[in-house]
Amino acid sequence: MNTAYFQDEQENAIPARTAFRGLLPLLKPHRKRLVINLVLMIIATAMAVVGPILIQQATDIAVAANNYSNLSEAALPSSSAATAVETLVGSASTAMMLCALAFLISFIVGASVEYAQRVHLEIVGQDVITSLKRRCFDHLMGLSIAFFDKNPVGRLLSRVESDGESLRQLFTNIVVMVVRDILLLIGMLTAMFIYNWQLTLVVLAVSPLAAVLVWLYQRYTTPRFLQVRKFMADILAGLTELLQGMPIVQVFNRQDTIKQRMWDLNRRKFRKDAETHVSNVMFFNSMYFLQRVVIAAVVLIGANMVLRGVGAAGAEDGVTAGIVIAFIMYIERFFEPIYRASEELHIVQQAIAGARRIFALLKNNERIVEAATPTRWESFEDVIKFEDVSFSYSNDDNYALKDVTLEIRKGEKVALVGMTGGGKSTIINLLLRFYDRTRGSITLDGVDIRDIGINDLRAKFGLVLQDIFLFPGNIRENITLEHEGVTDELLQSTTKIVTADRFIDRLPERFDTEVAERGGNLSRGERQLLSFARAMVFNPQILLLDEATSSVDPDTERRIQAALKRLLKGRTSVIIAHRLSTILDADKILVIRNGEIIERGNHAELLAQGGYYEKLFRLQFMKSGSETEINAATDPEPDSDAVTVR
Amino acid sequence: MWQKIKWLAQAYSDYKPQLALMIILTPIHAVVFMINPLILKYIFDSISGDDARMPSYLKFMESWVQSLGFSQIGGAVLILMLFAIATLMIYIALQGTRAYMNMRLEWYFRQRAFDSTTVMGPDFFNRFRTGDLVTRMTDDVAEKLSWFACSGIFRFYEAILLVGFGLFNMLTLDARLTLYTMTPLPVLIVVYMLTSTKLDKRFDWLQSRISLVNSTMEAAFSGMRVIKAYSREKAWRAKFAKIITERRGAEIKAVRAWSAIEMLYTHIWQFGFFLVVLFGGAMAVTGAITIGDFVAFLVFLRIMVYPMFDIGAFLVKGRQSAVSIGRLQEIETFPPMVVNHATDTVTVDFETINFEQVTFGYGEQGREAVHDVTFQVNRGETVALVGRVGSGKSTIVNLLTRTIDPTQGSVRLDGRDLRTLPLESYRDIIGYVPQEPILFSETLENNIRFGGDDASDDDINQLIALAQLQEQMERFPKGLQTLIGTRGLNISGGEKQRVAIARALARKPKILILDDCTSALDARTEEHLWAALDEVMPDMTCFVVTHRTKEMQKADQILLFDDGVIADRGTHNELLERSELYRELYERSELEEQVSG
Repeated sequence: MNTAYFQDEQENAIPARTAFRGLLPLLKPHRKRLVINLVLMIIATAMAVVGPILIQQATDIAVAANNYSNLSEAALPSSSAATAVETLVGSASTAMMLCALAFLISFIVGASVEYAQRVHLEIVGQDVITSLKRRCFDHLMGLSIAFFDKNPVGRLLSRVESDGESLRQLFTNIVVMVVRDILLLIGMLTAMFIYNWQLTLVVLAVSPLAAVLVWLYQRYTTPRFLQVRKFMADILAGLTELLQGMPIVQVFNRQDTIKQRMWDLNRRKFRKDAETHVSNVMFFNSMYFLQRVVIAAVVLIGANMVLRGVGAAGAEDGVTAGIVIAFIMYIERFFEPIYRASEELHIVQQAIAGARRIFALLKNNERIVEAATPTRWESFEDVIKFEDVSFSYSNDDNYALKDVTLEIRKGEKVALVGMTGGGKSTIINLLLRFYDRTRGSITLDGVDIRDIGINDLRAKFGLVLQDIFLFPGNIRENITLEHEGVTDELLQSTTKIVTADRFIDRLPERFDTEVAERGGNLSRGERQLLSFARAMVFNPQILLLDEATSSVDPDTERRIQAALKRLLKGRTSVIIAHRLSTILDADKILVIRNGEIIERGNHAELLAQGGYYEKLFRLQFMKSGSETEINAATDPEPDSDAVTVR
Repeated sequence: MWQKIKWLAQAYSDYKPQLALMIILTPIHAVVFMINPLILKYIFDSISGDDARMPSYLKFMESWVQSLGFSQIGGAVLILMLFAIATLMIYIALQGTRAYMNMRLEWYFRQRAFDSTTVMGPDFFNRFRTGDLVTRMTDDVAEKLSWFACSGIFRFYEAILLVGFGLFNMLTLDARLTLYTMTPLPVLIVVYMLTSTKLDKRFDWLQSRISLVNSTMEAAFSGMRVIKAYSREKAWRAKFAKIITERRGAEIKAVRAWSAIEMLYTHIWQFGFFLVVLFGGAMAVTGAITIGDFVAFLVFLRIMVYPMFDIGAFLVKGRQSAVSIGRLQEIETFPPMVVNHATDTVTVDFETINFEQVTFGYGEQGREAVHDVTFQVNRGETVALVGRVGSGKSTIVNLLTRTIDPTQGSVRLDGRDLRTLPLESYRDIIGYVPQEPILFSETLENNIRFGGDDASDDDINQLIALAQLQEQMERFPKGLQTLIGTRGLNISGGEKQRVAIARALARKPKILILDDCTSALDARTEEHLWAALDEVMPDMTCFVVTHRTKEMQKADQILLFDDGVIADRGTHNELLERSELYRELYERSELEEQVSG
């Protein structure tokens, strides 16, 4: 490509606070739904708090009923009293049943509300992130080719996808869990305080200890966790490299060396991994132990209170067996938010980093600037001129084009010839205004290229990359680029003209046949015809053709040349030529080397000069004269040239 | 299936102590852990005025703590704490061992699979793409297999024991209530298994939507020139909007399913609470069970929930792991192409190398890459292999390095078939510079020393000079210690080729194979490099695959390949005179040199 090195990421371009300010407006339209969500969350929390209360009720009902029966046996032997007790026990049974039913209702309501709340929130989160991702994509579509030269596709993908996802996590999981956990803690603490404040204080007394444990755990594992990830990435890279280098390894008898290398990589990851996991085990077991200590303390103190209060509800301390059991249940849930907090912290950090990167991307405004009042360019009438045009991709002295002057007149066929990297495609790039020239002037029919509307400009050109770039989708979509203006008739007649109809008709679903990745289900020749069809459909005035470097069998080659002739007929064309037959009849051939035009003229003139072109021509003649044979013999199915690939 | 279990069992052969520890500690933990509710029962019985009794096997503890002067409740809480401490210690040991073993097995599985690839030939690497192999050795091993191989199995073992002891303890309290309490629990296993396959389907669908979003973005960003040239930006924005909206739908669907299932997981067992309150409560009211029993059932129920998930997980993950094991076995059982069956020894100072009617082709009906090739090379000669792309030169190189063995005929060193020679000592005399210079992410020096350990520092410096790397040595930040490759300095193709040459020479080979290895150099450097090579080449027997006119002229012998056979052979002058193919190739090389020069 044009620039060999991708630019480093400038992650820290956006401070965290700015990123957050960017996030808030995204949430605004959903204010109402967020409030509903909060209400649902409160209901779900209330249900969670109610559960232990009902268990407490049930226990105390049973205790009371037992006391009556004990009383009846010991102190009241008379039958009438026994009947009274029986009624009491009977009503206790009813109360117990009601308790059970209430419990059933509470957990069904709790579960349903929680379900509704989650789904509802997910919808909000999805809406926010979907619109953020769309914004990113739309923004990227407007950036210039220069931006894409500097940023590898993988990076852009991870910006939109991974960072977007970690932001969504922040929305739908973390924020929610924090809110829910706070609600839950408030609810449980309230219930506990109402039951008994001394016991509640016992529970609260361990909180600092738990917090210290969480903090220690965090401090120990977070860096190790990151290291494990890094070491895993190293293993991945190591495996890839060593597997690819296996033939060399074998010839150099280095199997043991690389086994050892893999061993070292594995061991390094294992060590950190073991450290993290063992500390996980320690942490969670300690927390569980702590929980049991608290339960034991509450049981000890609570039980003594129950005994002192002579075991009956409504006594001095107000503590009953039921209250003790309710406390046990609350304590079990009391620790849940703490477990969670220990896992959430690094997700939050990731999301913040993600937000900063996304908003840095949205702030990037590297684009080709359109004139404020663009000149209409109805149609190409006369001439395209380059005057002393210089251009550098990297904005330094490394010029891809140096003081190039050329003319393309209407109806002409202009060929650009030269070794790879000489500057041929740069001329096409400048014509399409993928980049703006560094110096000099480019005019179209006398109008400066920068004064013409970009779409207006590009509509006049058809870019034909014979090594066609195929998008995922079917044949139709790849020809029309999903332009609604292209009717089926136009599509059919066009493919006929470039003789692509013959192979398309043979495809299982004709125009609706899906194109395999990189066009794997199409032959090279078929792909070339497709690229012609694509250009033909848009019927441009000027064709920019980058000829395929790879060749095909002679028969297909003849068909392609014939199709090309039809495509070029009546149009102005600029051709980056790799094959002589295409340019023999060119009006102008420009030989480009190291960014300069070193020879110009038509074929006969240049041949007569006996210069660089003449040598290139002879070389190409030899190549194309012999290569057809070679290709017939080697046209490699990926698995048949196995011996030579590595 | 039996094969896979054996395969898995083999992994434990080095970890017998850990295995024994887990087998023994698991039941101890289960017993200790499941006593907890019984002590709570004791406490609750004593505060609600019932007759509080410890289980018979804990009686001794009761009398012991009471002899220490503790009250009934104080003593029980002390016992509770003692068991908590015991659980803490046992479980840390048990869980720690499991975690350790997970990691250890991950390492073991990966190493084992990787080691087995080191003897594989090109057929293997054509069958399995690098990405596929890497996935098997990372994703399959780390994500799917390693957890199951220890934790999955031993948590299942633990779960069975916990449920067993739990049931035993509950039955001693009340059989009927045990039945009521436990009914919803097996439902959890079934729900887990049913839903996890269903969930997988939803997540697969979601995954395909995510992939679509990603591939759309990838296509848009990579095809940006086409999109811009045809002004299709607007259409792509619309397309992306549509696809991402579809994905939003899939995400929400997946969350719906997942949340519904999670609600089942977290709430189904509460149905057990309902049953305990309903039936147990009624029994407690009438005095059929004590308050302590009632509490104990609630606690049992709560601690028996998680084992259910472990049982479900074992069944589901077991199936997935079997697939991963199969994928690893596929790598490990692949028959290597070149096998070491040495019966003879290598003569380091050999006289001749012979190809005798060598034919090579892949598989049964594979195309023959070379056919009936016979030639002899004497010690110290330089042979140029010339021909078009795909004419069979690289196959000859692969046969020489014994990366592949002939399908018919033989390659002989001093008359001895290479297949009878020890592979390692034969390869020790070879220096090979491949067409694609593969280097490793190591320091420059280590990359050169990859060829030979015993190269002295002097040797290295000489090699640097020979390979025309002096200028790089000054430019590279740390000279010889500069890290190169994917995670180091990105060096150019030409530089890589030169390092590869130094690497091959570092082992002072007897046979030097240069496979078109200076193509990425600029003309001047290439000239200097070959001049330096010419000085060392007479000491070795050289095979040179080349387009360079000078090398063709200098070669003692040129083998002209065409479509897998030797079309002609002789010196440059002889071939120039009689072979049209050679003339054509030679002229083309000449022109190429002029054009690029």
